[in-house]
Amino acid sequence: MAELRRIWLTIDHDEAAAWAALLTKSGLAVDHQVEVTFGMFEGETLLATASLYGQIIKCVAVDPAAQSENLLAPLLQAAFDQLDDNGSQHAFIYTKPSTQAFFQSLGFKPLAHSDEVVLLERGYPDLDDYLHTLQQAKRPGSAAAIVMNANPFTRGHHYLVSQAAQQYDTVYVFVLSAERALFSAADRLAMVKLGTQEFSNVVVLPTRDYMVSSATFPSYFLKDRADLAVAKQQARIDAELFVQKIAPTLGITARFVSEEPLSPVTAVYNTELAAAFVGHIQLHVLPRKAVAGAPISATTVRQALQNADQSTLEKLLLPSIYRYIKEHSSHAN
Amino acid sequence: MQIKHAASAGTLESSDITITLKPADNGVTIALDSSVEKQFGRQIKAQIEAALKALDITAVAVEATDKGALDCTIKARTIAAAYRAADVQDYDWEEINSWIN
Repeated sequence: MAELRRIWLTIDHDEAAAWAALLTKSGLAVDHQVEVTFGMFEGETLLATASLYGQIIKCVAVDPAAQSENLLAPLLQAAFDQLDDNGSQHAFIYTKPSTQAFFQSLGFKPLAHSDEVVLLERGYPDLDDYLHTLQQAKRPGSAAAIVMNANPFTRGHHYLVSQAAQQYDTVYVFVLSAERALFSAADRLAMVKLGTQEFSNVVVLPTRDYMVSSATFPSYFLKDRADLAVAKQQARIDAELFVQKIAPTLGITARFVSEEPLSPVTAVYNTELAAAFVGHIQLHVLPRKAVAGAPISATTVRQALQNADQSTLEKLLLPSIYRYIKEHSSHAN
Repeated sequence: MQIKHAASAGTLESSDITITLKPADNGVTIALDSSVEKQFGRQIKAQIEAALKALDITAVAVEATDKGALDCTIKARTIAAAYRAADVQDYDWEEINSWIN
């Protein structure tokens, strides 16, 4: 009878080696971007494994010799229990289309698929809940979308919104909900509302887990450390989810993005958006707005904030946003 | 009993069932995934419906992932999920005992 145990990858080197060997044998990359790892053992032999990274279940492998022994269910149950301990009832998994059925029989529902990868979720609040809240914000007429982190909201973001707002009846601006930025999600949402309030046809919404999130596009948050091949697959799924579920709910036929000369991960994302959108959604790629010859970027703004470089901040930020940051800064000067 | 938010009970182990209850505007809908759906699908749904009715729940969306649970397990998981979803912590055992068998 196989036994469930936690594997401490950084401490137990023998078990870590067995774990890596099992993943390799199963044709999976040995991905160390994991937080908690579980194994099913027969004595000292590792038969199956699954790991958690945030809400994502990954590195799931069962030894070919031990298949059909129902080793997957206790592993996933352990992962759900771990999430439950952290106050979450929501899990995501990426898998190959060929193994999708196993996870569906364990309560997962498919969200979006590309040719190589399927993204599934289990638990709540789920995509249906999110689409329901979008439905309530829906307005009639033509519609475009912009997805932004707005960390913080710059004159560049404002320019992008203004261009879209001139061409479409409604512009839905989605602000990333992940709490992995200098400014909190609540602050970023407030700044975008403040910075776009002059446009009566702009609707500001959160992305929750379904656009450029820790679930759909985790590489975005790794930036320099991201594996571009992995980022490409995630970006494709993120784009497909937008095409297959989010855009139809709001009647969105176009998306606006800025050219991305600086970050390779974001550049990969824009390329995959273009590929997934063909025949469905028009992608408008606008050149970056520049001030005094330099393209505006939120990264530059954050550096200027750190250096208290007032003249740069005034150039790159709307006065209302600059005021907001000064009023809400915990290290106000 | 009023479903206030989503909640679930049960595991993925063999012979168990995971029941998730979510708020709904009206009516009871049950989405069932079961390893024995062909043979027992109707019976499983009937057990869930009966337990919900006894708890006076008339508006709920049910998701059930069954791994061959017996009727007593199905009832128990449905009751536990309902109490969690309704934020009720003191189980009325006498009342439950009056209808569970």
